[in-house]
Amino acid sequence: MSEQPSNFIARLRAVVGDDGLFTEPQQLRLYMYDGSIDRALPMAVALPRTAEQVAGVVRLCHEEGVFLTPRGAGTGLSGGSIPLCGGVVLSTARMKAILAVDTENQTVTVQPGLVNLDLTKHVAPLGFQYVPDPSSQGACTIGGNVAENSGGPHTLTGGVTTNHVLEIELVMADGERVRIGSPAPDPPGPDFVGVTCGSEGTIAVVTQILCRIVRKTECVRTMLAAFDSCRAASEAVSAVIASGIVPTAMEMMDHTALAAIEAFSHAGYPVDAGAVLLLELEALREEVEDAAPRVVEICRANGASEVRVAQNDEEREALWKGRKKAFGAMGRIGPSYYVQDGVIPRTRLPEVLERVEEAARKVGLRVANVFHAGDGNLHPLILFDDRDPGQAKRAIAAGEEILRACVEAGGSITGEHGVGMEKRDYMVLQFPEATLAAFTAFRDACDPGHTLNPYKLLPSGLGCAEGGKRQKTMTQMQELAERNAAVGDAY
Amino acid sequence: MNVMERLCPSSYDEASRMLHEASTGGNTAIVGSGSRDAWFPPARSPVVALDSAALSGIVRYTPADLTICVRAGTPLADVQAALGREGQRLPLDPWPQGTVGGLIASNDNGPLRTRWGGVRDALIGVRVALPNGEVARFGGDVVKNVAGYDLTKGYVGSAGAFGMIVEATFKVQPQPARGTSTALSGTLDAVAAAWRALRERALPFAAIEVVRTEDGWTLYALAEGDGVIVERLIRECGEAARNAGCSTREAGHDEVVEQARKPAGARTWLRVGVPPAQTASVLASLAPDQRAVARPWVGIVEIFGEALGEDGLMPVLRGAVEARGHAHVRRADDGLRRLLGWWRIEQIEGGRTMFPMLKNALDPARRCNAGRTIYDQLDEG
Ligand SMILES: Cc1cc2nc3c(=O)[nH]c(=O)nc-3n(C[C@H](O)[C@H](O)[C@H](O)COP(=O)(O)OP(=O)(O)OC[C@H]3O[C@@H](n4cnc5c(N)ncnc54)[C@H](O)[C@@H]3O)c2cc1C
Repeated sequence: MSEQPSNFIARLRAVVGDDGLFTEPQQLRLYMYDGSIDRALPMAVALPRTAEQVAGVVRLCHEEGVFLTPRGAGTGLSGGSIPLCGGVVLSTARMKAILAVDTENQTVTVQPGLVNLDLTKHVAPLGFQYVPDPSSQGACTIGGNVAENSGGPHTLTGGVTTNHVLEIELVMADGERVRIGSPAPDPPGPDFVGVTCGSEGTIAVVTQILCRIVRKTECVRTMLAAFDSCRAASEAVSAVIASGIVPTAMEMMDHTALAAIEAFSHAGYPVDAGAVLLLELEALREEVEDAAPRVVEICRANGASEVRVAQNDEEREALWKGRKKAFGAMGRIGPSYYVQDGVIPRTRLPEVLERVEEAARKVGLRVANVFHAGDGNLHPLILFDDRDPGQAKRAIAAGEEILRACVEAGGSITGEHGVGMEKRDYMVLQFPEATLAAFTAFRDACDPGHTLNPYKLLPSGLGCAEGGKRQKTMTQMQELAERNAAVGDAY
Repeated sequence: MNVMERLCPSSYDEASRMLHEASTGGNTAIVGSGSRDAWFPPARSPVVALDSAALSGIVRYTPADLTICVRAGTPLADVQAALGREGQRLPLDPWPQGTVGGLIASNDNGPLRTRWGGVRDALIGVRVALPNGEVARFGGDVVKNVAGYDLTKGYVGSAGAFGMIVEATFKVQPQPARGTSTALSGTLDAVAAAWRALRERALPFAAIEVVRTEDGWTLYALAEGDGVIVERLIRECGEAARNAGCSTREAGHDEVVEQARKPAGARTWLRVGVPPAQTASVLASLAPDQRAVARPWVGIVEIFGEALGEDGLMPVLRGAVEARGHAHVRRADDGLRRLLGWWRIEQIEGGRTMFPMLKNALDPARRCNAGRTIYDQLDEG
């Protein structure tokens, strides 16, 4: 910084106003976290109300070389909104407006701080829905969803955030305001919206989003099938797909997860099962009525001991309730958990799930699996006791082993939670050097000073100044446990 | 375009080495089969051309994973044939000529765009030869993947600006058991009422195409799936047609596809994109000699004809921009081309800022297909 911190703060205050700035330690402490493991204290938190104020904050940080970390609701699971090296956190909490609903063009214009579920609730009475539905949808923001390119249980057929965003307004790293994409289809030139989705707040700040909404489908049927083992359930998943039916959701929960979920949400899940599949069909009535019995049949043929089909909305919600609160439920069986997000080709599920189990066993820990089986997106929750210093280390070691298994199976280290700071050193497992060099060059081209969300997404050796080394202390692991408990209450 | 030399790499490494050498010496053009070459301004000459013809064939295909990985020089038709043998398909049905790499770079699509989205929605990974001599991989083989920047998307519509796509992976889907369309005919107002009514009912038609013929307007509603679904959709068409005052007939599967391919054979051809609700007003503004095929649920209008004049086309271009859309003059005789240029777009600032960022990262010396995208020209100016 070229000037005194106090001057800088005063200039920041001039941009966002007195009530748009937090600098008191007790306020700042609330912005140290997200839903992952690490934490760091910002120097100030700016809460702009307009895109113009966002541009003012970004420009000021750019001029003064102060790090800036955008933040939505802080539900991220990879440390994306943690101000790793201090600096300013830019919170979108005061930019939550729905600016326009256009049912004819099936779009909604929103500010980035809008909570995902509030969008769906707003358009539901009009007969519409917003498809991406992360399990955290009651808290996470659309801006955060764009930054992480978030998915959810219903993205198997519907696609993830990038498939539901048409146009984005951005503040670039130097404070320039631009609009990319178009309300019209397939604008000429490269797909800039696609490149921006999933950029984790490292190339620009999102200030407005034109989201696509779709009409609610005529008929939805939800069913739960209980199996002896994850292997049998995985085989059922493949068999359903092979039959030509593509359900909108295929979620798997293993035995360990079921016990925790049932204790937490009393959803009525069969706790004796080795694994259950939650399947949902969403289509025309005729199509669902034709497919549902076939899915039941396929599950039975693959060893399902029980298949329950929800008969009404209430039963359907009951079936989903447990799944949506699954992460929070882990508090029932372990003081803390470390969640991974690897993806594999669906056909490799049985063998990789065995490697997951083995990775945890090798370090003497338990693992629960709750995940999007339909698209091969695993979420192993490694359970550990944060009071035992050795266990945290072992949890991280098991996590790394699992990511290796995913990459070796032809997959990815992250399907929806992002790289953030947590997985940046694992990028080398997945990508050749040429790719990492291209990522770095792109980041350099967008933000030469690396002031926007530094030390994220790229491996620590690349593209960052000195000092960004990731450290995971025991206190951090304890914080994690506290936050997991809080998450359990919130979702 | 003045081509000094044409090179045909037969491996990814060879492609990156050749691209590196060629672009160290001067400009390079990346060419596929040439089926969409005339849609874009020529690359800055003289060039060394890199041809993808020898980079052909399927790399990996596990039907149960519903993904396929192919070399970029593979003709799209070959990919569809391989998938068809396993009862699957890639839900992209543009003008069927050309290679997979060319399809990505030109971001072309066809009737199935209505239900299944475009290239960006099906493409999950690319491997590219870069002018720095390296081969980079973006995305991958799995359907969900947020590791690193999604530069795969940057290659969609890139017109070769960021190096040579040498391999691509797509999501695929089961072939529907049946596919047939209903043709609804009437005035523009009547067919527009029908497509709006069908859209409001959230009916999953695979394609909804409007065609302007010599004697009026026809809406094709393509129903795909098992018997019960197709029957239900046909029934719905009948009802919408009755309410809107259209006549109906069964039109099978191929007629709609043939109609959609007509623009590509014409001497003059414009492609307009507008917010979908504006489709009807674009169609209403057409001059009598302008034929059209439109995707009204998406907002795509293709306007074509033999020797269309500037007077009739200028208002179309202006209208597209006023509707917050864009237009691409895909084919025009030299004289008309000079008058119309290549593109119109409602706002250019975002791309003007972001294009150079991608270019700086992937082709900093600006040697690959220079001048072939709308943003190239601004980037240079
Ligand atoms: C219990 C639980 C369940 C979850 N389930 C899912 C799930 O099913 N699917 C899924 O995909 N994710 C899931 N997540 C992860 C998380 O909710 C998503 O990543 C979400 O999109 C984060 O949104 P947020 O508003 O909380 O963003 P934050 O956590 O605040 O930020 C996330 C990233 O986005 C950046 N960012 C935020 N706003 C902006 C902006 N306006 N402009 C630029 N960058 C910005 C931040 O810098 C950061 O890098 C879950 C999390 C929890 C705790």
